[in-house]
Amino acid sequence: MININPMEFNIFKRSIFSNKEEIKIPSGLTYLIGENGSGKTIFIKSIMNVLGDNSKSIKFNGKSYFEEIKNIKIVFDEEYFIERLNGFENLIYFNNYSDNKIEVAKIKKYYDIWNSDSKAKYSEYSLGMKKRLAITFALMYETDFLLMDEPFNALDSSAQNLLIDTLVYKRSEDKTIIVTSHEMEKMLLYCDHLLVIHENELHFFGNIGEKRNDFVNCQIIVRKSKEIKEIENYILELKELSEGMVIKVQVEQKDYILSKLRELGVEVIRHREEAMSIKEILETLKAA
Amino acid sequence: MGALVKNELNLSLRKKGIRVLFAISILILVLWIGTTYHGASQKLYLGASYEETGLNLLEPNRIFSYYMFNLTTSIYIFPFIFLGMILVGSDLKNKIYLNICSVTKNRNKYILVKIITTLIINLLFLITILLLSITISILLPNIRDKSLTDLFSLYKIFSFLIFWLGLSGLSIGSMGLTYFFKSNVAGASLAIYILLERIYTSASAISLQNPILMKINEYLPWCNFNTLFVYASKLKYLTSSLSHEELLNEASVLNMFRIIEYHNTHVAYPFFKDLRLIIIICSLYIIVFLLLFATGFKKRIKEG
Repeated sequence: MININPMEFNIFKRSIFSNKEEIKIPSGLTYLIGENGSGKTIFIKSIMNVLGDNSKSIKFNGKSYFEEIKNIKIVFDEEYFIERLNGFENLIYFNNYSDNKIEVAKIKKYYDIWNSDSKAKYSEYSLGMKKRLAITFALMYETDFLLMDEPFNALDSSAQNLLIDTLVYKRSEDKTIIVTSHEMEKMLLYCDHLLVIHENELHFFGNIGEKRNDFVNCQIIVRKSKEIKEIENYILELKELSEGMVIKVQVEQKDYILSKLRELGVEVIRHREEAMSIKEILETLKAA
Repeated sequence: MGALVKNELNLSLRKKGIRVLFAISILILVLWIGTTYHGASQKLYLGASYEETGLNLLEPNRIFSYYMFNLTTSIYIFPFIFLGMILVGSDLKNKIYLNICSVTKNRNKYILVKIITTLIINLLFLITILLLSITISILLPNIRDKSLTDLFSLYKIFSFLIFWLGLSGLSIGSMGLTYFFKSNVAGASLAIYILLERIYTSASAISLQNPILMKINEYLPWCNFNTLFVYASKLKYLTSSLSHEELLNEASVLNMFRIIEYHNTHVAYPFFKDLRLIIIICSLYIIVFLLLFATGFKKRIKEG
């Protein structure tokens, strides 16, 4: 459990956002959302007394960050490794500083899962390789608390899927995970709880359950066709374009709708998932 | 801590900058021995006595001290200053301290590791210079006394310690400036500062003869470190009661002056503070450098 006391999140004495009531974040996957510049990265870094000191107002299982540091790991939005060492050497270097050092064999195990066997120096790594190394660095300690700031950035699809699988697995082990990401369509479908920063206020919504399906819909662009009427019961919204139509359906019905459209001979030009705006999500949750 | 220092040492010795500094130090030593020996040998062939030529200063027992005197009282001290900047420059650029903050409560481990690494690398530099200078001296034909009787005497060990700790102090100064001002140029500027302080000293004592400026100079860092190194190179005893005439022979490199009356004119005359006082002042400066390092480190963490 993470407890956030009522307070103002400050950086260099400038208020970024505040929460009026105590927030309790239980175990599971919490998705932290907010517009660009709302303070998501500041929230994560300030927990560890970096970019402002909010370390005392946030408790992990009743203890401060520094008391519980062995049980908390962070994936930063940027990567901070040593350029002249390769990835594995970097992990060993920082592991030597760790308060809960782990064995080299364990580091190797996690390194092999997430990284290719590259002897290249970190300075030669691509952005995706750097992000994989940062994720390895956090996961190899097997902690109860995991804070991840934009972990999906620059990852290829296989790494993204691996990360999703890892987060789902960690959730099943009752770990407490907070993730920020611009992959809203993905994260909203997997998260248990939502932490929202909007208009300088922090809100928490626990156990959103099936409500999460309302936040993401699927937009399908098709050629104009009378056959669309056959699926009108499933359509949330319909918009006509000059030579086509945009139909909005629930994301969990996407596969059924697409196969139905194929059956009806309707030409599908494109489809994509789209999340609600943060304001719309907040209003939906507050109304509920 | 042992594993941390070992890792840090391995990483540091792989840095190109450190290897270049090491090579430059060796090159300066070899060139200095070459030119000094050549000049002294010429005088010998022209009929000067052995002591007059200065070849006695190149004997194995004395060559290290004589070389360190020349090195530490000139701009060629810069490798030891740049060492500090190189050891922390890339850490600052890549913000690796944030990763360290995420794994340990005791962030000051980083500072301690850097200081110990600086001490070890400076020790390696100095031991190499010592062994190489003695080896070359033994091989030089015109050197008469090639004994090493004095090498492990207490005052020689004390002298070596002063060089080691004094130069490491300047390396830490460079480290502190680099972190505090978040700039490699600031760290390297300590070497430029030395030149500036020497110009200031000359101007205040010889050109302006301003007592207030001269008094300020007595407490400036280079003046005190410079004098400390002169003492270390001249030590024959473990006390500070050195022969004044002997020290004043090296007056041109000293930075402390007072005005005296000589033949009805005022002249700037070099003088020495007590060695114990010099050691205290230099130690205070090293404490200031350490505080700069620690403060700069915390400041950089706060900035994220």
